[in-house]
Amino acid sequence: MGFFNRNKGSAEAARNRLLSVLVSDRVKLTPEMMNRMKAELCEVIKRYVPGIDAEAIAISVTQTDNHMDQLETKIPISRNRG
Amino acid sequence: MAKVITITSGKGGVGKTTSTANLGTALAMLGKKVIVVDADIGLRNLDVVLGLENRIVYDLVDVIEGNCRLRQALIKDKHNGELYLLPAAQTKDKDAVSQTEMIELVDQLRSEADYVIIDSPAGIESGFKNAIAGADEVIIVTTPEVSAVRDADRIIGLCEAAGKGHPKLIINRLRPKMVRNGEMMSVEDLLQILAIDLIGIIPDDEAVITATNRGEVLVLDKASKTGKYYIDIARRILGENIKIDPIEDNPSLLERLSGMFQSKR
Repeated sequence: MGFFNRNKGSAEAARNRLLSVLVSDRVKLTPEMMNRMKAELCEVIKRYVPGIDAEAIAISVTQTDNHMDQLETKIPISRNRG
Repeated sequence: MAKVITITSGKGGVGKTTSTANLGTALAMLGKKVIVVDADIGLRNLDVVLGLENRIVYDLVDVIEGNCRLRQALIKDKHNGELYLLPAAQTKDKDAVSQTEMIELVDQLRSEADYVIIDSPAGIESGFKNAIAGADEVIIVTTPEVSAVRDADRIIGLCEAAGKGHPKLIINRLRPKMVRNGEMMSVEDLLQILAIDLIGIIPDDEAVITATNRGEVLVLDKASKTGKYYIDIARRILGENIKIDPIEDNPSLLERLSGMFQSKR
């Protein structure tokens, strides 16, 4: 029944890729800015929660359900808390 | 006093010049006095699209430098006495003119017409900045392709940062069949991504190429459906509230039959 099958169209891929690339374009964080931001974040959080490593912090720019840009952050807490 | 509209895009080759020529002609056909301005200094094309390339004596840079009076540089259209072209200079480049000079030129043009339509160059540098400097409104042209939409998004941000308000969108080169097959982004997709108001949709049409080959604009052809879509945009510019219908070509019998066996997306 190949005639009646449709592959997932490329338009959907285009839309998803655009949404993702535009969010990064709009927020304009360079890699150096990102690293500085992570280091400063780490300093602040360490005052309250020990065991944070700046290198392990993951920050990404994503979109909310109602199409607002957002920063999504994951901050792992190491088990060895000096 | 004229309303000044700049047509820009970011991406090159999406239809700014074609849109400027057709919208300028359509507004003139609707009874307005129109001056279309080619702001693409060094890569002029509005003259060729309008078939006026042999009538250029003076250009925009000549006017700014005072080598001639404004009226000497304006070229009357072949078909419509209410339409005039101010051509770009071909032997200079975009740095030949400053934003202040463009604003002064546009102010001169305001008292000469009902509408001034400025054809912006591609890009985001001084050519683009000069083209929007004197504008009251901006229209952004995009095609339903990833690169064009990405660039259009950047241009929207730059226009708003330059205080030009909310630009309006023309979606050009839509192919309804590819949209139905899920191989081209739809009007809804683009509006969701770019989030600006739509002022019109133009289908992909080979007749645009043949018209440019001849130096004629499509709106002059009463039989042209694409021409009619441009005229609708011109009427919306004039404030008429014309609904934007989806563009439909006629699906082939085979497409319609296979559509019956498909579930809707």
